[in-house]
Amino acid sequence: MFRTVFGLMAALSLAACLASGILVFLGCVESETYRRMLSVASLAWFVSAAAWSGKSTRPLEKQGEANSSER
Amino acid sequence: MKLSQLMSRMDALYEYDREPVAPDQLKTGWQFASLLAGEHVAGTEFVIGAFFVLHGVTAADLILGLVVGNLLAVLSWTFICAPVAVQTRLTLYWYLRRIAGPGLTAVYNVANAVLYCILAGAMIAVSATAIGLPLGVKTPALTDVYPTNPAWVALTFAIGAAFVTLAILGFEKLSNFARVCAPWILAIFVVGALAVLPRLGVHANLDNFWEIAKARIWNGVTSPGQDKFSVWHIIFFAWFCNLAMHIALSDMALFRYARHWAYGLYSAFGMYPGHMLAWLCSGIMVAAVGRQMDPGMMAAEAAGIAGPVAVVLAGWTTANPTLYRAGLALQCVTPNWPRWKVTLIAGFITTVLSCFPVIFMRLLDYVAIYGLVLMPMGAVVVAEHWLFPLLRIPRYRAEQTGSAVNWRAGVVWAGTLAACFLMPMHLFFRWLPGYLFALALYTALNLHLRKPAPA
Repeated sequence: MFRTVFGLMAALSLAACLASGILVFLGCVESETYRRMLSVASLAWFVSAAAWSGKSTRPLEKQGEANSSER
Repeated sequence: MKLSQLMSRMDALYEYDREPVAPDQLKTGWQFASLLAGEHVAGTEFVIGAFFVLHGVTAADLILGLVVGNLLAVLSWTFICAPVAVQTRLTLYWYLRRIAGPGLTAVYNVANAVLYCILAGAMIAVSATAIGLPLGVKTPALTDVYPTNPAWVALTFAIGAAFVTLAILGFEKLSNFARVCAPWILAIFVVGALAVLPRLGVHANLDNFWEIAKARIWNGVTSPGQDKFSVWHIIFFAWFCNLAMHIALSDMALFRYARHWAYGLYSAFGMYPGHMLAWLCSGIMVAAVGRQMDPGMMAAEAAGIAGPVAVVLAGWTTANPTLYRAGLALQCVTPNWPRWKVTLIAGFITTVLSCFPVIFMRLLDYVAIYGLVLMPMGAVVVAEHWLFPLLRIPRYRAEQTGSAVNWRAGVVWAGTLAACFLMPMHLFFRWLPGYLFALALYTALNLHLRKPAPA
């Protein structure tokens, strides 16, 4: 139940981040408003996504693999 | 330390994945898609896309190059890495051990660790450009090789110390958090690029986007000190950017869990958002700040406070697992040191390297060298896996004879690197002839072992 709520909140926050960029591009909001919107939406994303991820299991791991690298 | 001790320590480190993956452990395509989608948005993307602008690539060349180059990368995962992984169900470490011998595999591990340290150093430097912004620390110039001011050195040391401490304290929890960051970081790329488009003169209905892209972003004009890139540079860069993972087979660790070799196609979920969309976005952002190679400032201009936070998180989420893996790779040659101590040493080396601006100001060249150094061993494995049965050459002689070093593989590794060094062409293009050379040389060196055809 909580996982679904956090997941939904995370998705909405990410959508809000993207929406802030679209709004400033379209000229609907000023630059300062856009930056505030983006900061708030980002904060909401981290809170909800971290809570959501803490309640989910990771499906595929590459734990401790030294012959693998960053991308 | 004796070679036998070293080998047994190294085997102990990788003991848990010594056995091939069992059928009930295989994963679904959706699981592969989600993992790969989150793994290709790193701090380097802020720098790479911006460098394409500075190297004077044109808009059409960039789009075509990224589409084709990333497609070639996806096909390399699909037709080279995934089939070997699915057939063997082993990590590269264990498969290479059978082919090259444990001694040469140890050398390969150390080489890998050093390359990891340099990569993590670049990430620290990228993060320093963001944290240094409010502190007034000047980012080094494009042509700087050595540290230019004490404040930059102090900053990179502070960030390096923080990253290393976090890597030592809790790798797994932090890597969970790193996974959370990936979609947001990609969103910041897109949002940042959108936000600066009006500043470049793009209309809200996008009717002049292509004109602006050709005239003000990817306009074909090189910045001072940068060489000119063509479509071929872009194709090859996008292809070899993850050379260590696909052609050099490091991603056997991942694809050994695949139900089918065609799961390699899921790498497209990582390539096109991370290595196309993010690179295009960072190109737009750098054009909007007058082509200044300063990822922190560029992101702050485009996205406010969220921008530098994204740069730091993107750098950290790359550096954290890289430091961990460097520590793991080095642990095989350190006498009974605990993991924290090895990570500390790797982190110290990384932090020192990060002070040198050349580490991230020449990032494109470094990425090319990184793949090039590991590529010959990928060719050795592919030759032994696919070509030897066709030519009736016995496989896994190092394992069967119990030799610690397959000297033929060693000769191919060194010989290929020497040949690549001497090739009279741009660094980006050398790996492909080098790979074919390595395949041919390793096969030729083993041809005398060929068995007669059955009557």
